[in-house]
Amino acid sequence: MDAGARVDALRRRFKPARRGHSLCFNPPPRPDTVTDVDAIPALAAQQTGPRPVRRTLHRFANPGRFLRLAARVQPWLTGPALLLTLLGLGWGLLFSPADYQQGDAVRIMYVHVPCAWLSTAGYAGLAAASLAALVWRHPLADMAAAEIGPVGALVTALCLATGSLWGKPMWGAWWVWDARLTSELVLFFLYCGHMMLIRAFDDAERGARAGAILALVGVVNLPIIHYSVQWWSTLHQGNSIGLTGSSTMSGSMLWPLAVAALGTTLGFAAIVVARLRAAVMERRLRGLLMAHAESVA
Amino acid sequence: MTRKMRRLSVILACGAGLGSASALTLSAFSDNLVFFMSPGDIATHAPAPGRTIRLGGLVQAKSLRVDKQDGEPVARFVVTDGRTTIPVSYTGILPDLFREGQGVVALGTIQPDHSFRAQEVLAKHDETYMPKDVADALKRSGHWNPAQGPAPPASTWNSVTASR
Amino acid sequence: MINPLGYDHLSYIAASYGLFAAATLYLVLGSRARLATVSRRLRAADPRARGSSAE
Repeated sequence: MDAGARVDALRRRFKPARRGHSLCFNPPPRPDTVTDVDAIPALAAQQTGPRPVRRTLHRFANPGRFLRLAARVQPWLTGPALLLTLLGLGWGLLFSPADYQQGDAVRIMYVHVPCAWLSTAGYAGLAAASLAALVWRHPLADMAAAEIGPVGALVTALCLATGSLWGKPMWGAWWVWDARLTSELVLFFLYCGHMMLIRAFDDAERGARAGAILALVGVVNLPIIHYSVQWWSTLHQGNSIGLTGSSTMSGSMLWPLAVAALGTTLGFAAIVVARLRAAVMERRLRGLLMAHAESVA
Repeated sequence: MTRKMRRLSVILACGAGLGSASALTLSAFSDNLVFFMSPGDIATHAPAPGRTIRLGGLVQAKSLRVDKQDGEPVARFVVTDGRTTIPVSYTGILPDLFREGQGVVALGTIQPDHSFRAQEVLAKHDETYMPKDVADALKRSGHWNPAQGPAPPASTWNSVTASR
Repeated sequence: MINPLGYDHLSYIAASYGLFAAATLYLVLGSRARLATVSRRLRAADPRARGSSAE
């Protein structure tokens, strides 16, 4: 990462006018700055001064601006996320009715379905960040992709594990190779592959680009996961809640599920924002330490 | 701007190519992606004798008999897809959710007498989730017979159960 | 087996919720610790960073 970041900063300095966002990284020339530009707070602060704002998203390319905004947004994500998740899961676990067929085992749904939803929604976020990184070269997009990856992988693992714990008492099997379960397992491997690929190159920028391409290729899997239960006969049941059309779930189960899903979605966002803040600060720290080491040497 | 547009169009073109390639592949292999065959599928293209397949369908109402044979429960039931039926025998304990009128997936082989000998039976449940009292009310009011097919949409349950 | 709620398949339900709780704790505490560490080290590395990296 640091090597790539340094190379990046150097390259940007020598051809500053070619890219839109290089404005943010284009400080007044200084003899002693052979480091990442945003590593020096004084410069980062300077960059927020008067300059044309070209594109909305690129306003957040400035790390200082991102950190300030994210720190302000963070409590509004974390608080409601914890509250709604606890409310939804408590409601599902203690106060929702048992299913007429599945009995109390249906309560596993309140953790399984939010995890399944987040595994695909998180992947869509990963793919969107990868697209922004490849096309617009947004400086935060690669970092966002790198931070979404592990969280998404963990959520996908949770989805598979809770599904297994639900399948054993209901279907009579921990695992079957039907289209829904297999495509969800492929999603887990995609997350893991992305995590490994972005760390597999000496040049961090090349790793990020390879990871972004993998993430975009993997988008093919998202409709397969969603429609697998309609296209092929699977052991997994069909979708109970459609974007359009009628649901086949009682309201007394749908409401706690909706609350839990909203809470965990906010929680996913809160964790990704927190990790992204930490990542931005870590990059800044690396730059500072590098500058310090060079000034000593 | 043009460089961005070029990168975006390259990605979109690759995405379109990849998407159509995978759609074609999936539709070509569609038969192999099916987890189970219905009794109708087995009747139209019968699998090779002795080949292990998965049979899926609904357990026909009032078709289940469980006998004891050498201390082991032996279940006999009929699997139907609405038109074709296949008799199934299975030695062992059936899963919790196994019920008449419910979905089932059995792994086994077709016997010479065209019956199905199962080594493993999995229960398949449908996408209907409802509390027991709602299910009872729907059944009592005659709005839904589980043996006949899936439950009506959830939006209609309130009007049905409120009248009880 | 203790089954205060009288649920069937309680061990499967408890395992699911337990896994979820463990993963949530890991993610929340992990990111909090990471933020705290990096803010502290950033302040130590450069006093001027105090203004822009404060939470």
